[in-house]
Amino acid sequence: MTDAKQHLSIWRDALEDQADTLWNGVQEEVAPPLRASFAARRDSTAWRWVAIAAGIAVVAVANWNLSLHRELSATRSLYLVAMLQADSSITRLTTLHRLGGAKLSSSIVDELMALIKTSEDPNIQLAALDILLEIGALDGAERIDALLKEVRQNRQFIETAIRARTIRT
Amino acid sequence: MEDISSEARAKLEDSLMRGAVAGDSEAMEELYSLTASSLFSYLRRLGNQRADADDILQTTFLNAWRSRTRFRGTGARAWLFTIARNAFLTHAGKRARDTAENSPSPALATPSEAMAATDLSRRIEFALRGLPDETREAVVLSRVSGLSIEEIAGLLQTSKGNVRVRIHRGLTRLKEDIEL
Repeated sequence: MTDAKQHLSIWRDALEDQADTLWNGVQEEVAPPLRASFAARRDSTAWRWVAIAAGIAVVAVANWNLSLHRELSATRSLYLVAMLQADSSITRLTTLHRLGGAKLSSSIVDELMALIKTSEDPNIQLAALDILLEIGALDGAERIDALLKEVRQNRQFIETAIRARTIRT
Repeated sequence: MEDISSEARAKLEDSLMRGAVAGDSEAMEELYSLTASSLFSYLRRLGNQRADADDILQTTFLNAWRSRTRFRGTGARAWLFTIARNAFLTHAGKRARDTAENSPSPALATPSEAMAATDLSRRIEFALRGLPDETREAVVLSRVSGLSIEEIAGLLQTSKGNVRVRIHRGLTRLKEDIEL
């Protein structure tokens, strides 16, 4: 059940026939424009496009995941490693989404580790991190510490993300 | 953003917030465009005048930007609502100290104002203002935040059951007040 349906259900339970009237009556107001000025801008708008494309990719690859073999052949592993090393963030993210839930070869695990250490893109780092945590490749404080020592970009963010996930699980 | 699923929207917002973590101010601005109206509606219905709600909203994003490395990687919307709520509480505390001498809350409707409100949306707004704070907050979050019951419970630091009770109680009272 989506969040909106979850809430509508409660409203209908409380208000019965009047639920939709009241739901529609409590409208969202349009916010004023942003006045705050953040840090100096970067030269490109790459991030915005990566983020938007990532959102689209999440939806688009959902069907791929369903059909992906759970165990990857050696040839396929090589191909996927190559995809993980691609220059395009979209290619890397899409590949990472395809890897979710699959049984991974050591070469892919190594590549995922390398992505976290070397990528500047926190979306890619986090996607790789989630997979490694899911398959138990980062069990234990020693492994996590060893990884964190070599993370070049967004180290604090990765550390916070690991802490949040390991506490939750 | 109601034309995309809440899951896809959440992933997009999380993705933008991660961009902000990496220092991209444009990702933060994009996140503002996706979430500001929900946050603004929430702040307005906590009893803030438009200008105050705007100030708190801007403060929310500045605070989010400054503390972005504390973002956990997911739940950007709930995280922003938590920051907004804290900014509101700080603002309300300052305001209370500034107007300690008998200044009535500007947002509370008098009975005559409520009677004068003819169209439904205005009647609803007046009725909302008449709800106890914690009940109103739960009802408003239920409608405009886009957060799940679990996330609202986290934000309000209470149980999911209590959130449901607050919403239910608030809506029942609204129905009576509006006399639908």
